[in-house]
This record gives sequence, C-alpha cells and structure tokens, in this order.
Amino acid sequence: MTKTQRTRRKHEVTDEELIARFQMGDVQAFDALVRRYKDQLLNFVFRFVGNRTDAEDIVQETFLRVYKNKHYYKEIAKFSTWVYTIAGNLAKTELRRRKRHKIFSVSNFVNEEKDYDIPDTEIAPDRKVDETIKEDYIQKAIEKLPPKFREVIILRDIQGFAYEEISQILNIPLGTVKSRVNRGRLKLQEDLKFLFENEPKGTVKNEG
Amino acid sequence: MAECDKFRMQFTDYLDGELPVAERTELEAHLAICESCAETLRQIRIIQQSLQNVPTLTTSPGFETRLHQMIREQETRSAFPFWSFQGWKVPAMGSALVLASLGLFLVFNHQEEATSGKATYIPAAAQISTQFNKQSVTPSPAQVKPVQESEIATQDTLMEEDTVQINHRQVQFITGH
Repeated sequence: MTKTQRTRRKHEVTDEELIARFQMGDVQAFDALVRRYKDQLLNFVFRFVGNRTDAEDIVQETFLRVYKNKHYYKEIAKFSTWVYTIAGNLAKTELRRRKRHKIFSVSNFVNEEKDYDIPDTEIAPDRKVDETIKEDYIQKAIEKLPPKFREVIILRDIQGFAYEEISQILNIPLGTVKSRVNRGRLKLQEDLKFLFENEPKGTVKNEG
Repeated sequence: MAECDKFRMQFTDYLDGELPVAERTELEAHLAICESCAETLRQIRIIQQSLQNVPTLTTSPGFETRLHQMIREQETRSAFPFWSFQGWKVPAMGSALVLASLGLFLVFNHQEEATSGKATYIPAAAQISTQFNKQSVTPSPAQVKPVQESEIATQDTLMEEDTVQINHRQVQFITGH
C-alpha cells in the first residue's frame, strides 16, 4: 500500500470495484480511476524519465491503454500493480527510444538539439545539506542510477510501495527487490556524499 | 573492507527493522567500531528521508480533457479502421490499387485485341502471361476486398502485440496472453 493509498478513506470504493464497474461499461468508474492515479503515476514516471512533459504523455498513454484493454485486467492482481506495470514499461520504452535517438544523433554529429535534459555532473559546491537534501540534487542523482535501481528506489523510497508489490510490478523476486533497493541506496549515497563533506557534525538532522 | 561490504548489504533490512536479532547485534557492534560504515548509514538515512519529502507534482489542468480527446480519437479509429493506417500505408495502398487497375486494364485490353483478329505480334512471354491471366490471375472485386481486410487484421494484430509488449510475464498472465 502506497502513501496515497493509506490516506484514502476506509469506506471509499476500491480500485478493483471501480475497474469491475468500468468493465461493465461504467465510464465514470474509469474517470474515478484516472483521478485517483494520475498524480501518483505522474510522480513515478517523472522521477523515472526526468522530464515532466514526457512523463505526462506517458501517463496519458497509460490510461489510454487501460481504457482500450480494460477486459485484460483480471482481479488476481491489484489494479495498482497492473497500472504501474503498464506505466513502468512505457517509461522504459521511452528511455530506450531516447537512447536510440542519442546514439543516432551522435553518429550524425547532431549535438545542438537534445530532446531531454542530461543531468549535470557539476553541482554547485556551495550547496550543503540542511535538514534534507535539495530536490534538484536528489533528482539528478536518481537519474544517474541505472534503471533497474532507479525503479525500485522510486517505488520504495518515494512512493512507499511494499516490497511484495514492487516484486509483482517489476516481476522480479522479492530478494532481488531488496538487494536492488540496498544497492540503489548505496549508489545514491556514493553520488551525494560530497554534500556531506566538511559538514560540521550535528548540523544534519538525523532521525535514526 | 570485505567485512564492511557484507554489513553494508544488510543496511536495508536493518533500516526496515527486518534484520534478525543476532545479525542486528553483530551489525551494531560493527557500526560502533567502523566510522566509515556508521557515516554511510547516517547519510543513507538522510537521503532516504529526502526521497520521502520530494515535492509532489500534479498533472496539468487539461490532463483529463486531453485524455478524453485521445479516447474519442481512438474510438473513431476503431470505428473506421482504414483511418488507422499510418503515414506511408495510405499512399502505398493507393499506389498498389492504381498498379492493379492498370494491370487489369492492360490484360483486358490485350484480350480484346486478341479476340478482334488483328494480326499483332505477341511475344511468347506475353502469350504465356495472357494464358496464365485467363486461368487464375484476373481478380474480381470480391477477390480484391479480402486483401484489404487481411491488411487491417494485420494492423489490429500488431496493436495487440504492442499491448502485450508493454506487459511483462506477470501481466501477460493477467491478460491471458
């Protein structure tokens, strides 16, 4: 259960009830699912692809696929698992497309136009850690993670999914999820540790 | 250092409170003497906290309107599958139809000339072609139409495969593919 799901009211109609209604032809149930998931999917995809416009397009495409393929959903999995799987795969397709495009562009010596933001490797040295790390550092560090670590970090540490559901969304064993989360966190720490250099002890809030 | 690596692989379970007591005690004993691991864990905690607090984005105001528009366009394409032919396919089909018509015209025209009794030189290859056309090639409109339908069916199949492609094995199981 994600942070968003936890905040829902107890007696609210479940996602599975809504998709069942939609499968019976109730289009308003589809609209309710869109309202329920559009923002959390946008955040998931944005953290993954690092570009808001692309992320919104991918979320639109995700809902379009849900609309078109509603009868493929069977209630043996949670709706959230299904919709996140679709969004995640579309996001990965976008990353592959960019990679191909980038290779093509480089091979043609066309460097002046890039269709997405490449994370800066130079970060202003005057920025230090206060209570939490600034979002732009976090986002750039996330984008530098290999996709297999990036997706688990986003799902676990940003979106608050349980390991079991991440395992189902990504179709990888639970142990692999945990291992990737651990390695992803270590990589992020390695990438952001310069922010902690020369930091006076005790100035960083530590909840541990 | 190898010992540090072993303990660092336990950080996630430790932070989640899922490390068994014996291993937890061992890890905490290591943290007490290894400044590097203790500092790494402290930084991971701060990074984790920062990840939980990243600002939340919201979709743009016209998101649902645009989605509904896309759905309507999708439904229109489904109602008129010919429209779903993309880019090069329409001109390609048009060219194929023109060539087929031209071919039919030439064949029929040639047959008329042959039956009219004019003394015309007909190369051997063309004679064979004419005989062949008489037997099997001359298509009726009823024979042409299914070709288009099979093209459309291929298009639908491709779209289905694309849908399957976005789903990994687990969703393939859900979708029954």
